[in-house]
Amino acid sequence: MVQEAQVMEALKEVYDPELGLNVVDLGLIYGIDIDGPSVHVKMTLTTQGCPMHSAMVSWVKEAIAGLEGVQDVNVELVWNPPWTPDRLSDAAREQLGL
Amino acid sequence: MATKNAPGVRLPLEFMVAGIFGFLALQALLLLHGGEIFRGAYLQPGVVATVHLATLGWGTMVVLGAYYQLVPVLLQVDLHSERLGHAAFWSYLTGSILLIGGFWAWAPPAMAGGGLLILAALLLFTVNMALTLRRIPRRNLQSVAMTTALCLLVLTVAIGLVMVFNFIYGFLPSPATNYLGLHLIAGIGGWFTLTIIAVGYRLIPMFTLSHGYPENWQRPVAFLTTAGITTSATAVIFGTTGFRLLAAALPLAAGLLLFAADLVRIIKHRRRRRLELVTQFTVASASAMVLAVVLAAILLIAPEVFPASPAAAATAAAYLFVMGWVSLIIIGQLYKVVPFLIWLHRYADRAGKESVPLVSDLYSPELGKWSLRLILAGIFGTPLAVVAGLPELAMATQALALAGTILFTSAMIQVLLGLRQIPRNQRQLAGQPS
Repeated sequence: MVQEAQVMEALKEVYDPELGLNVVDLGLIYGIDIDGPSVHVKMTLTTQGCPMHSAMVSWVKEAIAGLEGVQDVNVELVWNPPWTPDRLSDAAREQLGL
Repeated sequence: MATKNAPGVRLPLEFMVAGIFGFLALQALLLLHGGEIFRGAYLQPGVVATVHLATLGWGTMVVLGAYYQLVPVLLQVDLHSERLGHAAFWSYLTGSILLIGGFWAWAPPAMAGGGLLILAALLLFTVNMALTLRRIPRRNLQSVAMTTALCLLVLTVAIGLVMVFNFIYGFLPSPATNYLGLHLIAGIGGWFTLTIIAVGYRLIPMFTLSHGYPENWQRPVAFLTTAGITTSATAVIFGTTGFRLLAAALPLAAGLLLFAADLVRIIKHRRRRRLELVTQFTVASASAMVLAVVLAAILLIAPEVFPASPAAAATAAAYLFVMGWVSLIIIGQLYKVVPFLIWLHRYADRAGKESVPLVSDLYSPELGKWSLRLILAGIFGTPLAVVAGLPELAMATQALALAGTILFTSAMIQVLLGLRQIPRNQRQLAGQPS
């Protein structure tokens, strides 16, 4: 069975092409549930109406679907709690010059 | 195409590309006809053609394309019809060429034909947008402001068309200048300003990654601006001048200045510390607007303070409003939106599977940097030279604006045709960092 750490590693390769930061460092991933070969990801975006909306969701799906042992990926996009910059990782803060 | 609600990239891009080349032609014409414009000879055929190239061939052309992209994405609703959108584009493009050419050659039948085609295009556009906006679950400040702006655009074109037919048949009872004032206020004050405010409040925080800023000025800005457009329009219909016109324009000026102050607040809350091109152009645009408002106010209170002539100061204020406030924010947004659309078209399906560039890698940063410097030198230098009564200097600074525009157009061509070679060792990867 796939492990949460493996999923997070895969998600570190999904980049916001505008900011140049991956979805994990951006703090967009709210939760990962693994049930055998099924992976459920709860995530958000930096802002509602983000033009990358559906592209980001499909990249997240593809990144996880490529892992061994994964048969089904479900991505749930949520707006509550809303994303805030407090969710940025140290690496992301450094890249943004914060 | 990866964004869920947006139409294909072709529809917004055809408007934007036509607008970018319209802007290049505009800067060249401003140099060619600068002598007449900067002297205040507004009703010369070449000057009227140049002004309409600025408002229709550049500003409105790009903004219409942006509506097709932004309304579905920002309001999360599908565009009613792409086919209607393309029909509106061809009608609008043909109409603009005919109208501007008609003004240039002072050929009233071409002006009337062009105006009718533009009006038809805008009605198609408005119907398409109305049917799109009907689907949104909840009206918000943006959707109301954008709808009002569109109605004012249709009104502007309709008044312009009436003036053209009046020129041919002479049926209007009051002086044509009263209608010209209404045409200007509905177009520049209404259509462009309301659009900039509505779209700016949404896009600027998104692009600067601003969070936690107060939103309590947004409604007062919308209220003051809309009230000011109404009172100013009423005043010019009745031929009001001087202090009374100033009083009527006061809410509009207050709304604009409050918006500029609010922009500063939003940008102060940004999480992207480095000011990107889009933000630098936006700040410059708001600064030009503040200067234009101050100049216009002085012009109405104490016109005698201007060393050259009040007409020169009016030209400078109009230049700052159209070439500064309207144009600079559009250039900034184009530096963001055009690479984004091309990136989506070219790389969205490959991201995550192979190394692809970042959106900002699609044009050379040097082109962006120098286009900003030259355009700002030209667009701020020219009105200052005009106010100071130095037309030769104004022509020199206008040449700088043209040079900057050539660089801006080159950057856009680089993006559109995928001409930028990104050295392998400098390439930042989206989707596959290693």
